[in-house]
Amino acid sequence: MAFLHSLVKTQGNRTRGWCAPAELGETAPHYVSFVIPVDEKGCFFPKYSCETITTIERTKRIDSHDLVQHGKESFVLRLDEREVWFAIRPVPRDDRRLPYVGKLKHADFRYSFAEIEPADPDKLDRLYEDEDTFIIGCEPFAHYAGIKKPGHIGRMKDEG
Amino acid sequence: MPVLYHGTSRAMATAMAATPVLGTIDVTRGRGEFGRGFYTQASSGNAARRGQTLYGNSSAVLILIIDDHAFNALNFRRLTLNMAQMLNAQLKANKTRHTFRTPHDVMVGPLVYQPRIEQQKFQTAKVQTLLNGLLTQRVVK
Repeated sequence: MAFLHSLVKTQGNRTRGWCAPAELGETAPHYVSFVIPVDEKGCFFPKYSCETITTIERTKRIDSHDLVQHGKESFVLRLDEREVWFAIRPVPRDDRRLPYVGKLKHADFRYSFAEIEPADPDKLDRLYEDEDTFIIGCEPFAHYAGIKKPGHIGRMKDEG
Repeated sequence: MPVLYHGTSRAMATAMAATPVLGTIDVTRGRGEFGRGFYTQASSGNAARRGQTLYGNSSAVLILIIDDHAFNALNFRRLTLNMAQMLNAQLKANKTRHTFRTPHDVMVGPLVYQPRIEQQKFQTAKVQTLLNGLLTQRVVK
């Protein structure tokens, strides 16, 4: 299943596109976009894998969920009893489908990406402030080949 | 009381938070869409996500809770989205992100790629003293 990814928009080799922030380091833009791959016809997949990260006493737990298409340009992520809605972000026509232009590798990087944004951004902030949980989509250090790991990755299996 | 967020590595966040009495935030070290300075933003979730995408499980969020009176006494330069986009483009073209600053204590404006989120750039020695002193709580999450 394809993933939701957290990427930044950049210009690489004269091509405008998406890149993992880790490839740019601290020079990466401060807003990290949510992007989803589209198929060869430019259509959305019916479902995407979406990871969340919860911090528990300095250890980070990665949980997998499904981001499901709901309507033409809306998507819903169900976290337990909570629903987080996303919609396609309105962008100029030339930016609606952009490729991955970095050097890291992932099966999804053969596709072009469309940007989505949360319908209620405050909900994501409350999720982090109240429950130490945030949406990452595809954890880069666990899934992207060629990424330089900054530190030990400890991953707890979800026992729930 | 403004609560602002800075996503980074746990090591850097811990170093900046330092003791409850004194921090080590350095406004001359950072760079971003508004040039040289120390950046924070209003979105805790985005700060956490940015930290994670850069530092993985070594990431953390430095939370700054600044005294109202001291914060409102600062000299602000506020940018609209258009101004923020133009400044970002100018600094990128001139390659001056690491040097550009103004005499204001703080530059405030939207994130260039997400105008719903406000960002703040702290850039003077005076505001550095505020961020590192007793009137700012520094918490690492």
